[in-house]
Amino acid sequence: MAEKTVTIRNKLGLHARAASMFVKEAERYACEVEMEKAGVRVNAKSIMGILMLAAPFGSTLKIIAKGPNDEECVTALARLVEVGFEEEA
Amino acid sequence: MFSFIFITHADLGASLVKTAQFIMQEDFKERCAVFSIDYSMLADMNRIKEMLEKAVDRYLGEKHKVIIFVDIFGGSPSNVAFTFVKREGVDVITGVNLPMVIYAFEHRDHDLTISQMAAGIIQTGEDNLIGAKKLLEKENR
Repeated sequence: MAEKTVTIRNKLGLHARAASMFVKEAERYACEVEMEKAGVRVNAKSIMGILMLAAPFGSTLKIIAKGPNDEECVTALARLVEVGFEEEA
Repeated sequence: MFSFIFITHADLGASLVKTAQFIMQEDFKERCAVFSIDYSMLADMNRIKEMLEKAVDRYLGEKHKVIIFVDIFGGSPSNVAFTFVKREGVDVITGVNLPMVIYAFEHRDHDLTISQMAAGIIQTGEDNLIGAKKLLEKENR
């Protein structure tokens, strides 16, 4: 199992299009991926799951992966969040 | 595999598909049949039924399960759609909203039964009906 805590850096927060990008990246890996914020844990391979976290700019959340290539998966997903989904900061 | 039929008043179904595609950055045209029902068509319910039947038969023929999305329960589109509910591999869901459509598209290739898919779609729709004041009251309690 691999996990990493990240901070949302893009102004718009974890909005629908960003969630969709996150899922696309997560789907490249066979492992299970979850995301957790304030005790709420969701399936991070689902746009609607991620959106239920309602994570705004500056919030922190944990990415948890379990299965094949979980370390690599968490690193890639954390990077996507840390670069603010390549949106304006 | 699932395909989806949208039968709504005016262009709601087309807009839902377009918006879900925008968010997901994918094209689902091949897996969707969209029927926009306007006043002139409401006068001929048989025609609507025929169009729906054609779409249902095509998808079932391709071995897809079919979810028919309807906007308002009790409206004409819903009354026509409900006539297909006894078909094997078909379910009808009313009160369609954008989260439900995104959930459905995300799960289109998942190995689910028709009732599992329908349950997931309805749960997602319900989960997204949130009143902000009530939510804040709950969080501040």
